[in-house]
Amino acid sequence: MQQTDIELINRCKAGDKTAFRIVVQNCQGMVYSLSLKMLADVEEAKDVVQDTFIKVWQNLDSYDEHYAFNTWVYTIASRLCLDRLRRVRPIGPVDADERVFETVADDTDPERQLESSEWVSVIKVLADELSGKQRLVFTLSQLEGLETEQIKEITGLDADQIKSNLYAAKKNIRERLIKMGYGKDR
Amino acid sequence: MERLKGQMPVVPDADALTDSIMAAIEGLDSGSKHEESRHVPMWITMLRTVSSVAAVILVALFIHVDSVEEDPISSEPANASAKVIMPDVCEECTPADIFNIKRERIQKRKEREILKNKLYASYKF
Repeated sequence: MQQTDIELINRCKAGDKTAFRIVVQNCQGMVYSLSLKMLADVEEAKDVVQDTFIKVWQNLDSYDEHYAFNTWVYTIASRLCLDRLRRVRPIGPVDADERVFETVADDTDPERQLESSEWVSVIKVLADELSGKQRLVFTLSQLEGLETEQIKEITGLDADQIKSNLYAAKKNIRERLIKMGYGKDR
Repeated sequence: MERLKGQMPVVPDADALTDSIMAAIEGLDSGSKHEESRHVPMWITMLRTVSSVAAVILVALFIHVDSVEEDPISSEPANASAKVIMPDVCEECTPADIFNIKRERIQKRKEREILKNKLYASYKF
C-alpha cells in the first residue's frame, strides 16, 4: 500500500487540484479493489471510487495527519460500500460465476492476476451469504491483507468483534466450498 | 485463498475514472460558487420576515374585530327597529356600512325568532 506524501495532502488542503489528481491516481486502485471485492459489481465499484474521492475532497480539512491517509480513505470507502450493501442486496452467483470460480480455483499458476470480471464471480460465489460486516472484515483481512490494527481503525470494531466476524465469514465460506465439492483434499 | 490475498484488480480505464472524479470535483466547486452568487442580502431577508409577521398580525386583528362586531345583543341599541333598511347589495358601501348591514340582519333574525316563539306559545294555549 502506498503512503501518500504529507506535503501532497497539505497542497490538497490548500485547494491544489493538480495535487489532488496525483492523490486520486495513487489511491484509486486500492479503493477500486476494496469496493469491487465488497460489491461484486464493476460499475457500482467505480461509483464508490468516485463518491469516495468526492468525500475525501470535501472533508480534507477534517483529516488528522496522525493517522495514515490510506487508512482514512479506506474508512470512507468501506462506509460507502456498507451503505450500498444496505440499500441494494447484491445479486447471487449464477452458473457462469461458478464455472469462472472453478477455473480460477483449478488454475495452478501462482502469478496469475485476476481480471475484474473474474473477481466479481469469485466474490459472488464466496461471499454471497455474508452480512455486510462479515464481508468487510473478510475483505480487509483475507483479500486486502491488512493488519488487525488497521482493520480496527477502518471499521471501528474492536479485536474481538473482528475475530468473531472473521470466524463466522470463514465458516460460512468453508461450508459453501464443501457444498460445491471443494473438500480438504482439493 | 492465499493466492487471492493482496491481489489488486486492475482499474478498467483508470485515466477515464480519474478524469471523471476530477470533473465531479470541478462541478462541485463551481456549484458552490454559483450558490454563493445567489446569496440574498441580509436586509431583504429581514424585510421579508417583518412583512410576513405584519401580515399575520393584520389578519389576526381583522378576525378579532369581526368576531367582536358579530356579538348581536351587547352592542345593539334598543330602538333598532327604527333604523333605515339598507339594500342587500350596496356598491358604494364603506366597511362601516357593511358592518351595519350585518347588524341589521342579525336584529331582523332575532325579531323573527321572537315572533315565531310568540306564535308557538299562543298556539299551545
